[in-house]
Amino acid sequence: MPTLAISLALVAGLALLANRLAVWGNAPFGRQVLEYPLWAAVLGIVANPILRATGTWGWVRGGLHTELFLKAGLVLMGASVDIAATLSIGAKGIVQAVVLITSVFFFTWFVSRAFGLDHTLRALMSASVSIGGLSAAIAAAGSVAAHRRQLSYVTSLVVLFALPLMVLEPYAARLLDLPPDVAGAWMGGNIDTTAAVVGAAAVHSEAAMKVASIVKMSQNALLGVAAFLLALYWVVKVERKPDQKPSPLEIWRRFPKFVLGFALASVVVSLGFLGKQQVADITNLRNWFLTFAFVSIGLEFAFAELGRFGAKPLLVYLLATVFNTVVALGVAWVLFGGLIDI
Amino acid sequence: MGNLKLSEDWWAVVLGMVLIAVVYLGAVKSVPW
Repeated sequence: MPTLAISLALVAGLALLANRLAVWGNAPFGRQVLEYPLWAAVLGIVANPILRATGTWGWVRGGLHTELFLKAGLVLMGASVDIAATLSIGAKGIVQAVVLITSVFFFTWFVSRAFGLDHTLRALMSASVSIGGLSAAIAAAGSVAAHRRQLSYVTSLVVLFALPLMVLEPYAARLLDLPPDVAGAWMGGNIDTTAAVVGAAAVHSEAAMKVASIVKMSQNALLGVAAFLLALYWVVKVERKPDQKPSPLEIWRRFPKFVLGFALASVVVSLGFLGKQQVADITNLRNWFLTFAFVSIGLEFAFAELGRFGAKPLLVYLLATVFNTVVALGVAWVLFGGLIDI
Repeated sequence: MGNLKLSEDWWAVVLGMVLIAVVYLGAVKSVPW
């Protein structure tokens, strides 16, 4: 219990510092140098090896509830988006997710075969780069009975690629002069881990952040379907044990329940229960929880994992990420740039 | 691990909705950022 308190105090302290640096750090330059998600992730990444080198990392790991902080932040975000906008963006998000998950999954699946990677590692990498992130890797690991070592490796790969994208993608979106909706949909469709999606889009703009979060949640919502289909393929085609077919209940079991919290908060604000000042306060609370998540993701990152399987998986993941980036931009432009109206 | 994820999702919903209720009821007057 005392270690949990120390750990949470450290996360809160670094989040406060990130918040202040986003204000003070910019003052001498007269413009925004780094936005709060980037300061938070940088502080986490810097503190991480210091804690590991001093043998104190084990004390703080108990409070690194990245997923809880992030999901609570997203539930709070629901209070600033009315339900009509949520449904409209969500419908496009589902279409985008189906196109991206299918194309990116099979691209990664075949490229990793060409590189001679192990079957289970291929499934894990394909799921995490296409559906996105840690929850996809965990679901895929369950579907294909992956080794724990492979899962922790892929988890680190996801973060390794997501953090630079969190910096580069918002700047690329500004260089390309993308409208906020297209920029948000691009980030939501491309960046693998939800925390980095929200972080990147927050760096771009508030409007992009809302679109990116809803698009990413649409993608997350399809996780159960993808995990079910993968498990079905695995037992029938790979292991050839058709009598062990997964239950369709798996789809509900893997459904990210926090999405329901976002929708509920969205309904609450649409019914007019919250005043302008209250919505502003909830938005500030949201920012704090997201900052805790960005600090935690930096603190959790396991550098040592990355060398475990050599250069080939890194190269496959890089190729898959480049493919994902290009296809996601095209799909986001078509769906959110006004070319097709859903 | 799957179960842990599930419960964390529900905790996020509870935490988020409790915080919205706290702001709605006026228990917190303003949140600095």
